[in-house]
Amino acid sequence: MKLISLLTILFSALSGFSQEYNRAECDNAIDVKRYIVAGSLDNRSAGGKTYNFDRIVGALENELLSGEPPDAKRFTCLSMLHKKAHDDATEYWVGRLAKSTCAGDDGEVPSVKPADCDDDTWDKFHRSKSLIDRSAKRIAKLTNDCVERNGNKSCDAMETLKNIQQAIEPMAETTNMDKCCDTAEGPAFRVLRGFYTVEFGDMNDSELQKECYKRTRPSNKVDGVMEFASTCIKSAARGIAEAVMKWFKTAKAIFELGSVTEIWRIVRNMSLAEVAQKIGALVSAMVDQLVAQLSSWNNCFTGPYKVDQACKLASSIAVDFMVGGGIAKGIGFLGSVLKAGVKDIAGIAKNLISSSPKTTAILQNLKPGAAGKASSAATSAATRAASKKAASNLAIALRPVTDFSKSVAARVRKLREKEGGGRMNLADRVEPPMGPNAATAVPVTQATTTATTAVGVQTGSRAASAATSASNSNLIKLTTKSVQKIEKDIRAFRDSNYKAIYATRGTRAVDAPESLFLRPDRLAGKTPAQKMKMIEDAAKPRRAQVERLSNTSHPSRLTQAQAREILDNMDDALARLRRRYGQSSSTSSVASSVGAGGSTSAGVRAGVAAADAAEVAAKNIDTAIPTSASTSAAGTQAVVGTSTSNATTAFTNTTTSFLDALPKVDMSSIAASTARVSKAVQKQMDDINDFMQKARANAAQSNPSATARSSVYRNQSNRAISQDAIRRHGEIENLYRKGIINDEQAHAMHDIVRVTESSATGTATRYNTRYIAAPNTNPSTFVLRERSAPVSPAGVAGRVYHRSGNMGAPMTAAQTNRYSDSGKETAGYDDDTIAASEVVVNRISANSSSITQEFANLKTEAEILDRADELRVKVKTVEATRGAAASEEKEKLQALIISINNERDRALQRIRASETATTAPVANPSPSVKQPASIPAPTREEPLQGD
Amino acid sequence: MNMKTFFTFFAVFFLSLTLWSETDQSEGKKAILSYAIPSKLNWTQNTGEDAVPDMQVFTLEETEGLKLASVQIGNEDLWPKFSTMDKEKIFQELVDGKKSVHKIAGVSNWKADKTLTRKSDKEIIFEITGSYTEDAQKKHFIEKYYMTPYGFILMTLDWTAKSDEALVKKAQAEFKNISFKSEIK
Repeated sequence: MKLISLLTILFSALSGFSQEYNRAECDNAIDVKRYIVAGSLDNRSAGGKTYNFDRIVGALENELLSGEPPDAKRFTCLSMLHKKAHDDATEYWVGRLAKSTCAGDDGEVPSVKPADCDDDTWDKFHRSKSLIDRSAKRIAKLTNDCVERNGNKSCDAMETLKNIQQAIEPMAETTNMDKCCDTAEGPAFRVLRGFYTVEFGDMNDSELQKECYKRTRPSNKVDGVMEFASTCIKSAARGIAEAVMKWFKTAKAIFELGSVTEIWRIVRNMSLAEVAQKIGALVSAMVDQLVAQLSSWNNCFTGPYKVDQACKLASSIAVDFMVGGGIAKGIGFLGSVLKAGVKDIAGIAKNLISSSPKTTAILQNLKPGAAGKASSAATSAATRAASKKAASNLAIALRPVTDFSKSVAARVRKLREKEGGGRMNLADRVEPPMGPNAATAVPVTQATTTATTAVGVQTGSRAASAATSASNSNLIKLTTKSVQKIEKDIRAFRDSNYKAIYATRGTRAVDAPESLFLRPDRLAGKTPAQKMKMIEDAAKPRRAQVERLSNTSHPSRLTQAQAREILDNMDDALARLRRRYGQSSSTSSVASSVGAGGSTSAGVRAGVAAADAAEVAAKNIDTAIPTSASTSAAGTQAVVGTSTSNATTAFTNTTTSFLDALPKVDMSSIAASTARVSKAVQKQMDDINDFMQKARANAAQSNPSATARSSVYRNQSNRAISQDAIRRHGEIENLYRKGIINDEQAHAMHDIVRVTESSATGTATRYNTRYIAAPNTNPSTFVLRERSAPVSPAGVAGRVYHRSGNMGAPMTAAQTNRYSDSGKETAGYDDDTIAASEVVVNRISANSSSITQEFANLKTEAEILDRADELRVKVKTVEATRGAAASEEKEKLQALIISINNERDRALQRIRASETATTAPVANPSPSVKQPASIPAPTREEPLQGD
Repeated sequence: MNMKTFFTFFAVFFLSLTLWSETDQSEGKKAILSYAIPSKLNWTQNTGEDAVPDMQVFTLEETEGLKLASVQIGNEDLWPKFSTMDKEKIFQELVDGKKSVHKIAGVSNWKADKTLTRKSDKEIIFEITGSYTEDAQKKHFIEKYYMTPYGFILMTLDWTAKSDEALVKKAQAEFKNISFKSEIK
């Protein structure tokens, strides 16, 4: 089952892949910003971004050694990203070295620095090379050797991925069925609903979806085309009869009655075959025309149904034409077709198709709007082709990384040969040949330090990502390039997308929620009601922007989870503000006096806003890194000043690492546990609590009130961060990179540091993670808890299946969209259908073998496919009618569908194996599979069963 | 009146064939149009994929070209014409309409006799019997229109020169005995 789940997810990820990292697909799977410490992936220049190789590899290690089934989508995206980073680095250094004297005639950089090679190029290249080689080595070891961690072997995970690769294609086809038959947007479903009114008019959505599945199966063979062509012809004949009946009903004069009676005589006195023969040429020409114009839905249908579909529509359009044109016109046309013959049948067909409102309606339905979704589903042929490619994409992802030095050398040689350019000593050059951004692009070591300087203006996580070495951060020297980079980062913060994502993650949401919406100094002198109105007015467009960004089709759109997070935080901030401004007058006066002080500091913040932000931020960093305070922030430090508490000093000394004190936590055991937390798990959680309490108290103590925390308006990160916090973030990142903690834990820990750093009142910055740091005013009660409902086996299963790179987003945006119940409600489902579906769903989810039993006695492929379709429809019906059911429930249903597909495949395999039993025995599943009780056994063979 | 033109119907087969047509009335009353053919012939009805709602076609396996067909139509526009025009006028208009198709259908030598029977102030039976040439073949027909204010039933009997004469005669006799009924429930 897990495998199938992975396959489904993988297909959705890979179907759009080209040969390299695909942002549209992978941005939902991994947080690419996490791996780009400077610049943007959108920058086409190889030197336009700085990758954190170690982090990418660390994520890959986590993927393969977590003990959970590898998420093929994440793995592929990370691998592709690594390859892109590698390629960009190669390209960058090729450009830089080709014109330098650091590379020899053979293009290689010698082991001893040539005399005329400039230091900067030499040092940076070797630092980059060291990092890149190291990452390549780690990946090679991970993917080729059997690296083991906590009993989890990378070779097992790799084996699973290879099996996934082989299995992508059929699953992709299944996924295509789902797209085509989605009751809301599936083009095939729409066509069946809209234009098969005679056959399926009485069907509810559930039944029609089943019919749709039947007609879009990849396994539909073309053998039955003739049979369906005959059916089609009958459909056309029936359509003509229907048209005649309509004319009877609409006849207003006896003259018309006479005409219709004669046409009816022709029809009734012909067999269907005769009618078909008469109109066959016309229908055939119309089908050709339809296929050309409406290939989208036509590509959803498979085998004979494809013919049937086009044929049915053609006859329907012809009938519409006859009826719509009035009796006289219709009769004349039909009479010509039936009796007199038509010379230019293709021309008539084309006119019929293009002039038909039905054609227009179909095209309209399948166009964007309809379009975005429909067209993506509509290009099923392309999707299928992509699915075939997907296997090779994963194969590419699994392919070893090329040797960096050799690649660079070879390309340097080629470039020199091609351009014949001279070399020069670059010592005197300020900028590398590829532009200013290139300098920070590849040399990751430098990027690390550079990014460290940037943490003052970035979010905590970025700070953490950059600060890989605490000791190094003390040695940072702000070069011109560093400052330029900082300025660039600040520009990035002004980007609306970035703002929307991070606007509420900073501490401003806690300390000065009003600054999320407007310049705080604008509130000066206003009444509380006026202030609140100004804030509310400002919040509206912010909310709208978030919603727009979450609904846009842009690749970098917000995920639903992110949007929810931001909106939630906005609501939180607004709620706090409402409470604040709704206080009594006496309190208000106090508040306003405080507010005056606040607005002083806010004024300072405003003063350093906007145009000056870059400069101020740089200035802050310049001073903040050496832990000197920002005077502008002093007014806000009263809060921090209260944080001394009676905390221990366990971590006060910077020589005491988080690592040393980190409690051992086995997240897999937590995840695998039931809702009832075992003593061992509780102990681990307690240890975490204890650790966090200490960490928080320690950080609070080690952060003097003078620690800089400026809130620069419009600088969304808005705070300089203490050196101690940087170190802690760095340590957390190290732990993460080493695989000691997973990404969710890392986020939670970053939260701890941020909270501690920002405020001792314990009001946490909410972070988008499954684990939420949930402090209250007492530092000792700082806890790490799950955001969602208590863990249950089903919940765990769902999370395992739908892990994504977005923290706290158990499903990708696409999945969320697909499985969202919004707007669907229960339309199209009657109570009986729902009830019947629920009975079936309960039956098949009774135990792990329930679904297996459903397929146990089926003998033929058709039976198996039918049963699978039937079950899937039941589950989908339940899912669609559950309304705002818990996400866990949705996940469970989704898992059920995957399980059905899984069992279907097993059953198919069984009957196929039985046909060749004597020569090709099928491997029996190992009985010793470890699975949570509610998770059906995986379908694939032995290598996958350790999932 | 306010009769709807929506028809539902059901058929009951015993030794004879009976078919009822039913018209909904918005007040909750229904106008039910029905016909019955006491028949001893072994008519076979086209069913399944060949079936078209509100249309029945019966054939006899024993012979070629003999066909009994009917349609039940909800139509309130034709009744005022039938109820106010005389037989000749109705016939003329009907023939004019037919002729518009005859040309493209390759029908020639079309000729027919007509009768008009007023069963009641809300029931008219108009019948034409005739022959024509199509595809160089002589063909015969009887068309019987049972007209009411709510709609009509059109019943036809077709045969050709190749059809078994005895069976055609039996069928003709039975066709003459078709009974129509209209009731409001």
